[in-house]
Amino acid sequence: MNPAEGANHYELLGVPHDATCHQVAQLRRSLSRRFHTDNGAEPNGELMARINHAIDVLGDRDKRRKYDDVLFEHEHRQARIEAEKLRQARAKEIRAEEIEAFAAALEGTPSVRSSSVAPPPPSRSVPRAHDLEFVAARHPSERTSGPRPWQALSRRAPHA
Amino acid sequence: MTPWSLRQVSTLLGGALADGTLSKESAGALLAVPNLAARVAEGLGEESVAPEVMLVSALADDSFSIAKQAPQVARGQNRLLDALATAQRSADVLVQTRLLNGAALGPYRTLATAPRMEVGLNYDARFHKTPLFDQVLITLAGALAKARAAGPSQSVRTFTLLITDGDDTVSSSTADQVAALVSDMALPCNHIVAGMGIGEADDFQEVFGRIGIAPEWILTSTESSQDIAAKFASLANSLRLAASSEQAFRRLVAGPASGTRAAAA
Repeated sequence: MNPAEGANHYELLGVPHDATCHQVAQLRRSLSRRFHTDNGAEPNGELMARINHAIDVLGDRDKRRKYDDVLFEHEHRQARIEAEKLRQARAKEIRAEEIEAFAAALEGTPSVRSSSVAPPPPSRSVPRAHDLEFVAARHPSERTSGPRPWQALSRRAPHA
Repeated sequence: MTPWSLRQVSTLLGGALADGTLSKESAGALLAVPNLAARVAEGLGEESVAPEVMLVSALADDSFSIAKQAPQVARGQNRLLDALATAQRSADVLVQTRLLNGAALGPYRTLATAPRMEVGLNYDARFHKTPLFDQVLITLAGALAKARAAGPSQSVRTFTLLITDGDDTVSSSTADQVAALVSDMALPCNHIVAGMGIGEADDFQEVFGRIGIAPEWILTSTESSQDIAAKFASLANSLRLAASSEQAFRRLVAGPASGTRAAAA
């Protein structure tokens, strides 16, 4: 079965990834009994075929190893796709002046274009109370050094 | 080796913010650490032109409380270097070892020139502070900047190991801020952060869990030499695999070499 199509074998059987091959093989009897006898309901032939196939694969060491490889690569690809989507969404949202303010703060230099989104350059002579409070929260050692240009970054709502 | 400038570091990390690799939370976290760019610049070191590169970064505790275990930590770290040196590698490996109180054994270097840890020579556990969060941010920012300095045709994967015997005591940054960066770096599935907690002074699942390290990659050891050696041996196996191929590295992202997937097979 292609892992990209619906539930994978583990999900279908409701077994953890570290279930032993023996444990999986034991499922055949109990699941088969349940599907054939539950309230006299007709067994779903297609579902039973999928379950039997999943048990065949996960109950066999070599088949399972191959399946795990395919499943893992599929999951990895999906994770990369999701990560790429998130990265692109972040890139769209970030503004040039925020990037510039970040880079300038890293270098310890004032950002020329940051005035619209960030507080004025650090000033020891006229600190403002709310700025000091913010700085104190982040820099216990620099309580009198005034506001920082990254305030615009940290005050925004999180992305993810 | 040409020294890296603050401008180069800010360009590399600013680029990461611009293209969405770094979240704003992570960017704010980096700015919470005084002089982070300077510390990162000091550590960037040598470059590799190989098509595949693996950056191995270690951050070892040098607070006085770990002094008794310092020889085992140094031996273990050197064992990791030996394991990488003798491994079949698809990637060129660059290594950097930093210490928790701010010193670095050297910038990123090839395995042939990477300095070994020597107690009393370049590793002295005598400090009274454990600035874990700040130093993890510096180490991770260094790995990120170094990875971004690679050429467009190079594939870079990174493995970061944190070794401590206690929780943070003095950082400017917070656990949540570190977790934001760990999470960002984990997104593309080409970065592993492992935590090794030594001793029983703290619950290391909790200490490392709070900064975003996956449970599978949190190793705990008692203070015994044998136990510490066993944990480093396990890490050495993982590093060998990590260096062997990109596919093996991707597998490791889910857990160490002796993890559940391997056990199930």
